[in-house]
Amino acid sequence: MVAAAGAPMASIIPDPTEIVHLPPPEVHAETVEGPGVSHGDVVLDIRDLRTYFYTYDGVVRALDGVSFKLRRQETLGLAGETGCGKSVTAFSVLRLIPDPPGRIVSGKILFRGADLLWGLEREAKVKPIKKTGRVKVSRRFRRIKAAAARMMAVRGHGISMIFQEPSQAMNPVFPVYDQIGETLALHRGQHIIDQLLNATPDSPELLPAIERLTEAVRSHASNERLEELAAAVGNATNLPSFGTQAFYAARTALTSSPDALTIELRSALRRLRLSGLQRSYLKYRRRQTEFIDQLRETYMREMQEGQSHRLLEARSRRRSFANRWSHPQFAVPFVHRRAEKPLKDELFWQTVALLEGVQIANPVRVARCYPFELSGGMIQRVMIAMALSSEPTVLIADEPTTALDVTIQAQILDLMRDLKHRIGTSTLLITHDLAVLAEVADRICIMYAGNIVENAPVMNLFSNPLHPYTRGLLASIPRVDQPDKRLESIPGSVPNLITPPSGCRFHPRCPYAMPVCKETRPPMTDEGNGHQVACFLYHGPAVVE
Amino acid sequence: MDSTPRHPVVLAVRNVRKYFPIRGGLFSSHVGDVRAVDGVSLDVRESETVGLVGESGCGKTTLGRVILRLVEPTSGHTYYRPTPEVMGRLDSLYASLGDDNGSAHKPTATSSAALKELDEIAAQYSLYRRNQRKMRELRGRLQIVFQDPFSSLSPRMLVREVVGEPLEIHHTGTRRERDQRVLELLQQVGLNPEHLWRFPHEFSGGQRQRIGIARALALRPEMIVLDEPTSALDVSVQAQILNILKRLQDEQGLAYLFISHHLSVVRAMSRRVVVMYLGKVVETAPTDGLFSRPLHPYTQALLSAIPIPDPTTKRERIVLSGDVPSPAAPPPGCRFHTRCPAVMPICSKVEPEMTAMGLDHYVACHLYSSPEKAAPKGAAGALAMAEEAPRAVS
Amino acid sequence: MVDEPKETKLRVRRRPNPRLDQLRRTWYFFRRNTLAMIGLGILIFFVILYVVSFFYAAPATQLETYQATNGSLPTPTAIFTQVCTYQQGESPPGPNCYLTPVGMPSVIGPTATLRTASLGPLPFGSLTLNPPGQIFYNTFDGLVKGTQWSLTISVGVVVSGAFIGILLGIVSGYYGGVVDEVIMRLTDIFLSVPGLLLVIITLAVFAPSVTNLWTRVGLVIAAFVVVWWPSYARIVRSQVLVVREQRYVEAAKASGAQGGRILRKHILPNSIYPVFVQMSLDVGTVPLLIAAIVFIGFQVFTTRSFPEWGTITAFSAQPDVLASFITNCQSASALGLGCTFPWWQFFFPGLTLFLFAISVSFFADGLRDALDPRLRR
Repeated sequence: MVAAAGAPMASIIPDPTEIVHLPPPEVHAETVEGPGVSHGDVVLDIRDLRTYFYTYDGVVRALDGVSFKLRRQETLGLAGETGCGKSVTAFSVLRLIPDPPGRIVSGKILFRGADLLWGLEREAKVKPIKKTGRVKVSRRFRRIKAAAARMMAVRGHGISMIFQEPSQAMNPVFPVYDQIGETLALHRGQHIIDQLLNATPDSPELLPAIERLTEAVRSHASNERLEELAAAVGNATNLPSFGTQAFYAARTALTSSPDALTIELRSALRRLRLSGLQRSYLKYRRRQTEFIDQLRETYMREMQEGQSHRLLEARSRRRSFANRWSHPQFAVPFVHRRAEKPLKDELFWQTVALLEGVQIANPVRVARCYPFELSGGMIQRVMIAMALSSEPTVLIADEPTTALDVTIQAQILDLMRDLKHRIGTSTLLITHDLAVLAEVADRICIMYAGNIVENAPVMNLFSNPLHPYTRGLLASIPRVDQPDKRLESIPGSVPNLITPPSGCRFHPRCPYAMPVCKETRPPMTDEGNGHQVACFLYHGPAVVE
Repeated sequence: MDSTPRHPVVLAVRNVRKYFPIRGGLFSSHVGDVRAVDGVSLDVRESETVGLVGESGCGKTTLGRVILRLVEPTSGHTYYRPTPEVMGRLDSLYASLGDDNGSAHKPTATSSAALKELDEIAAQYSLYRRNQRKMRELRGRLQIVFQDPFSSLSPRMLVREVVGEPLEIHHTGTRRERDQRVLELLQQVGLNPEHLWRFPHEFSGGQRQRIGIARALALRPEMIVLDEPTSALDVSVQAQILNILKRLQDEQGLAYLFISHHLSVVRAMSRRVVVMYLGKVVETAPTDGLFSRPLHPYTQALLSAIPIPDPTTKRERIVLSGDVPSPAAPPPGCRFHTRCPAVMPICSKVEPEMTAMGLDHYVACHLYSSPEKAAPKGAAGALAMAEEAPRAVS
Repeated sequence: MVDEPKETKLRVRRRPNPRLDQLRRTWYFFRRNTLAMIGLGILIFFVILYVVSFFYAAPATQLETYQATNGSLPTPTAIFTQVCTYQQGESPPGPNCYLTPVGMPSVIGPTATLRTASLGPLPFGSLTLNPPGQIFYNTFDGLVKGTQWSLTISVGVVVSGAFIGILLGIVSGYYGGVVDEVIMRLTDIFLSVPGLLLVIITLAVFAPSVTNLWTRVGLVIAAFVVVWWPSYARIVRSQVLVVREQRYVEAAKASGAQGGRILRKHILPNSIYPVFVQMSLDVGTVPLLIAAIVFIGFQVFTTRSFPEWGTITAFSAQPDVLASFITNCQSASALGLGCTFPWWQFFFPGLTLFLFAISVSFFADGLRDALDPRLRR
């Protein structure tokens, strides 16, 4: 008995072997605040985020009230120097902060109507110890682990991340297709398996399509023509990845022999003809992914509704466990390998298609490579492909080009601009290089010592920097096109986050400091045109959270 | 040639090569070389900064170390404080030897006489001919500041010990005098006395870099090789360090070899720029000349790749295809031809020579080369010099 | 922190001690590890015991064998001796007598009765000499006295081994080339022979000729060091290979430092930390190895029943000792006496060894975690 989507939950006692479709949750759409560059709704809303690290030397107030919004299809740059907390912000969003010693103390992160930080208060208690100035943190580890598990609903398909050192971000013992394949299977497994199951290797249009492709190869047609015809081959089998495979087979056939192409493609069709074992394996995998998706949905609901659904969670987990053990034949290594081959091949060609999308010239070769065989720029592209494979709503890029040479950086920035136009993911780009942001970002947030000091559209920020820190930063960047520019440095140095300055954290270094700056923290004010700044020099209306 | 009177030369580098042997096969035999530096020449003068730019793998870091003899070269010479007459002799000697492209060299009477004179000059001025003891004397005067402020200071030594180490090694003065000098040095770079008693890991990157600079200044150097001194630092800290370096140069007449891949920083600091690619110099010119009129396609691509912090400037970006080839198997002919947007058939066969383009601007590219305009070595020659007998590599 | 240098006093008043602060930090991290603290506590107990053991002298009483002729005492047979205690000035036999097998370590127990015969040393009681020349002891005394020997030997082995190992490891790692090859092949040779076997062979060859106690102990230490130093050399060498590529070594060279100075000031301090941890672990292992050697039947020290932890533990498990226990038990039951198997002779020494090894292990773990910069949060 299948419960129809939308039917109320309470009246159904679900049959344990059937899939229950949960009714869609209540979601409150966020309204766009203030005028300015707005591409649409807000996808990620961070409100008053505070993350502290409790260490031997004291409490490091890494983030002390960070708020900003990321809109659809917008590239938001988070800029600041080392120690200002930009990476900590990214890790806090995905709850990757090591706990202990860190802790997200308070705040709200709204994503798809869910507060990702739901349940925060109950995870730990912080009590000050008298006499010494220190605090004692009592953590409830079970709750913390549960909270981390809940993030599974969001990581990957919702929010995805690429990291700073590309060479260290990949597992060195697995080739590229393995790692990307894993991500694909995790997030788009159902879709891929459905495609595989519905492929038509014996369709009547297939052989003529292959013939046309072989003809094109024989007559050395252009790449575009080959692509067209290969895509037609893919359509004939109802499987686009077969089209990719055909395209690359055709490309190699250009240099070898065109007749071999037909033979090769015919043998490649074997992977589409599924034996009974393989079919049942695919169905088994599909059920697994369904249960995992269910678990994700449950977590998402918990965060959206603000209440825990432990029973539903347990049920999904039990089911996936039971499913696993109800098919013991797939645990046998030999059987397992045969059964999973079509899926692995399919994932391989989907990976190749992904790598094409990030402008890698030789995707078949790169997919087979191990990470140590690839250069830094190449690995970064692979990471971008991996991050985008799960079709995320938000992509967080933590210093993606810092470790790369300048010409490679130029390539990657080009790629990111191209992806922005084609795919339109909202991106949170973290970097200390303002020049990079000038090229790709739509809007920039400047961070200093755990606070956001300025938040403006990119044009406004560079043409009219308001905050003294922003001005100082821009004045200290050496410019190739301005050789006589004197490099102004900001006096002093970044404050110790254990004992940050009172009031406005920048006041000890600020040339315009006023008495009030030492006492109170300046609120974020809106100065028009979407330009927000936190400084007592400006008196616009306060931005209401 | 530039006609303004120049400061005296501190180091004159001529045809320096450094190959790292690759061992392979069953008996670890010598199967090839990584040609990190393949025939580089340049001059570093007092009170001037020479900027050395290139991407990772181009050999600039290795060159910096070879110049200071922290690494033994495979061949070539670095002359310490050659007089202007000696410089002139060197120019003519290298020019007369340089016509032979190295493939077939039967020693003629003139070439062997030239070699003999070169040998005499080298015995007197070349760094690589000095024995260990004499080299130690020079160590204080030729110093280096490293790129990574995190690993260039020993984690178990106090700042006092780190900065005072050069003084201790050379037994300069008494303990008390050494402490005094350490305090002076810290003051020069803008640190406080209480910092003496801390460990390096308690400092930020910028402060550590200052400690490194203080250490380099301890023995009153004449020249400092700055190996990417600010690449690991934030922008505003970078500005502080660069200002300190400039001030020190003005006060003490220091010569700098500023190695970096950030062209904007190099422009701000240098008087002259040398561009390297895969172990060879591809272009060299006074700073303004290079940036206003880049001739070599690689230089042009480099310049266009720099992101500018101004969203309104739209630029034509030259995006180079492919990756940097491995220095173990450099492409034949011009090493850049595999990625060059202006590649011609000759580029894959013949290595271009350094051509003088006027105003002290030299470039090694077939787009510009013609036999009459062959450049003297003094500028930044890049030809193979097979006559230069390779020194025994330890 | 200022950008422009300001006028500073060139005289530093107070000398803060940053190394003490580092120590304090390490202690803080160590304190938070419960197991490590337990280990430390037990170790402190052992250290106190060690100090005590030098001054510990159990009251020794003269002993005479006595053949009872009549009275309530049964007829002694050839295999039993009657042992009695008496104070100086009293005349034998005193009221405290009991039977003990001939030749066995015998103990005078103040509360011994004639009902049971002990088959081996009683757990408590006084130290005796019987026959003259041989030292017999009870379990408790043996353990206390044994602390002195066991700990001295362990620490001696570990420190000497580390000293040699570090020296050779540093030289080998830094200079490379032929020196490295030679030293590494040497370690290969020593590591390819089973360690215990090598110790036994060394002792078998040299020991019988050495009768002086202290020389003997020195020989034992040397035999172990021969087996032990290669692993330290390897540990240090691998660290040195990493350290010598660090920038600060290059910087020192750029300032003109020579090999000796670089080794002393840069390479050495940065390479020896892993060795410290290994050293702490090994201290616990040495007594266990001595026990193993004695267990096989090889007499390590000057007497068979030398008061050293490992020896005590293993001595009672020797086949001939066990056999005589059993035959004496049969004889005793034939005489109408009960017999108690001296379980304490195995249990308490074993427990001591166990506690020592495990406390050292916890301590070493805690130390390593506290020193590891990544875990220091």
